[in-house]
Amino acid sequence: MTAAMFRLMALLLMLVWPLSVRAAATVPVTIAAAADLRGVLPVIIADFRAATGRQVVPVFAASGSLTQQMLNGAPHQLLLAADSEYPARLVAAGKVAAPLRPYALGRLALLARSSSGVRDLASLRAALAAGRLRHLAIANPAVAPYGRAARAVLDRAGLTPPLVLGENVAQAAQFVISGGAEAGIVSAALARDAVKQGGLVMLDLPANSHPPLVQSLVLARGAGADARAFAAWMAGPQARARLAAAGFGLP
Amino acid sequence: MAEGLQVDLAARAPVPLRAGLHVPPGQTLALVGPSGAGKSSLLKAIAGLLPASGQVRVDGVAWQDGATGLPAWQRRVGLVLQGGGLFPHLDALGNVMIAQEQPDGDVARALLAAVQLEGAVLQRRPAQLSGGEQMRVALARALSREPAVLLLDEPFAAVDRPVRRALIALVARLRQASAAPMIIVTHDLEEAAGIADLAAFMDAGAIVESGPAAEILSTPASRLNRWLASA
Amino acid sequence: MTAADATALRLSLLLALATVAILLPMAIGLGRWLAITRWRGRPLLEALLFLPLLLPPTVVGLALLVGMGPASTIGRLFEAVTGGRLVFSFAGIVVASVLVNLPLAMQPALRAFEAVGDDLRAAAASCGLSPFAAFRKVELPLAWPGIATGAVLAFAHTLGEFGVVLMVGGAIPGETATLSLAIYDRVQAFDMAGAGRLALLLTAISVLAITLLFLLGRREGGARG
Repeated sequence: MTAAMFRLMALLLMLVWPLSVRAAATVPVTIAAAADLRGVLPVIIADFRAATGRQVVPVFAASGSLTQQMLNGAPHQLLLAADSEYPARLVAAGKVAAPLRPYALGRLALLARSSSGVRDLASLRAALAAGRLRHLAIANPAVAPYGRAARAVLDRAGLTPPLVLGENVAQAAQFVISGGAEAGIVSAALARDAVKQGGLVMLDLPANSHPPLVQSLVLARGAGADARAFAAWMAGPQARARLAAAGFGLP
Repeated sequence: MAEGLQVDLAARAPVPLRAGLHVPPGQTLALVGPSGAGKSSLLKAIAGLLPASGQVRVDGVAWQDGATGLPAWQRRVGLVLQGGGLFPHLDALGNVMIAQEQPDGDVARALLAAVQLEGAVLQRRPAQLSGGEQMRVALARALSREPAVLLLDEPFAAVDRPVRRALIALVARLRQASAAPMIIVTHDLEEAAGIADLAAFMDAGAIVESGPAAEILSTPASRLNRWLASA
Repeated sequence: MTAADATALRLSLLLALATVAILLPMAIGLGRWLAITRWRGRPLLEALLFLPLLLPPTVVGLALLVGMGPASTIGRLFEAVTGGRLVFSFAGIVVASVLVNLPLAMQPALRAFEAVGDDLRAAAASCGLSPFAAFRKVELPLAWPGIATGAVLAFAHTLGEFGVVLMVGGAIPGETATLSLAIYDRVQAFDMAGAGRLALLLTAISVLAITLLFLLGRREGGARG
């Protein structure tokens, strides 16, 4: 019985060791990407792979979270942020070498459930007044540039709906899709993807309804060839075409 | 003259103890006294299970000398505590064999046969044995170590009268086979009279009276008998 | 199931196995020592060891990020010895997981060792068993069901670990992106169907693993130990 137990423990340890070695050997080049790029970035990466044979793997989160991770030593080799302030912080902290490079201009859209009757800011205001809007989803302004921009839109329009904050702009969109929020102000690219789910409508919001979202990228110190090549790719014609088609502005 | 068991111990907890006794080889001492007198503590101290200082010598070998003593597991003691202390995860045979230096199934079976346990009952766990059967296994286990000293702490307290008689007779028979000095803590004077050569009366951590059992038990004015009368 | 999901599954299993492998000896050693010791500081230590379970996972994650990050003493030591970072690595989430699950693994073991009781320990000594032999032949077999329960709890809890793993690990594919994080990721990518499939898979594996471990823990020693 005791022998069986020691055998079990030895088995556990033996299982763990070689598997963990293998796991370490296959760690890919990771790039930190703002959540609003969830829809378009995999397509751009596929183009990149087909053209150059190189591979990078995106990790999506709010720009603020990603910046915090990289400040704490996360091994991401490239940051594609939703604004220019977060990359600037990394530069200031000495974590990144190359200068900032804008790669896209963020656009906002109103995303709403068809059943809510919200189609534009006017109907949004009406729904609010009539008490039909219980939650409006935006990304958390504390960590997400799209959240800050959404708040700016609301402030400029003089609207104060009850808000539900997504940890990042993709989660905010998810709240609307799942029905937890009747409407939301999210990135235009994500809104386009969301309406494919059915039961939703979207409206692009004019670029002047919020301070510009200059989405910049920055390379980490010691970034490898794959990451550098991808950073260059993002400025190239194919990537820019994909971004435009997804609803981004171009710098 | 330094033969058998010589004890002169002091201990602090749980009861302040200051006791001495001598049991020659082959003889049995009945240890009697009120609850809380320290009888169990004394046995545990002799077995090395309680920190104590003083002298414990067995056939001339020092188990305890001053403040230093052999650890309990190195003392060749056959101990039967109240309740038996059998290991619940082993069957009867396993309980006896675990105390053997060289595990020997045949010897173990012989010991169990000597306490009148044979056959299927050997494969039963303690939970499946009666109180009397558990005691027999405990006795067999204590003997399987070929102990230099036997210490029994109220071994028959939890069994019924008829079973008790049978067990006492068993112990008496087993005594004939072993020369180890034995101390048996008991409340039952019938037991004491049946198998004890010596008797000692213990109170408040000290041996107050000791001597040949027959003498003490038959003297009404002895401390022991006075205690019995007052109970 | 995509290749990425398979990797996430493997990482989850690895994390759970590694956590239990490390915690088993710790739970046995600590649990037994606490059960036997008469040290006056014992209640305080028991309470301290319970802490990781009571603290919110984000608090634990933050404490670990600061405590083992590249700027910390521990982080620098690790880097000096292995050349790699402790945070945002598999090693880092193993550390986090061990810390968070220690109370889960240790408590049942502690109670089990307590239940053995002083009487049986005394009996073992009087049978001539050295402290180590008594531990091996008497205490361990008797405490084993409790120890196994602790292992099962830690395993199941680790499979579902989210907050601490995310904060300390960063959801890096192939390194720290476990299955529970992959489920979260699927939801954020608007792939509810995919998330549901993975959730079902994780549930099935948890149930299977727990059943297996319970069976192992249930099997008592043979009649002769």
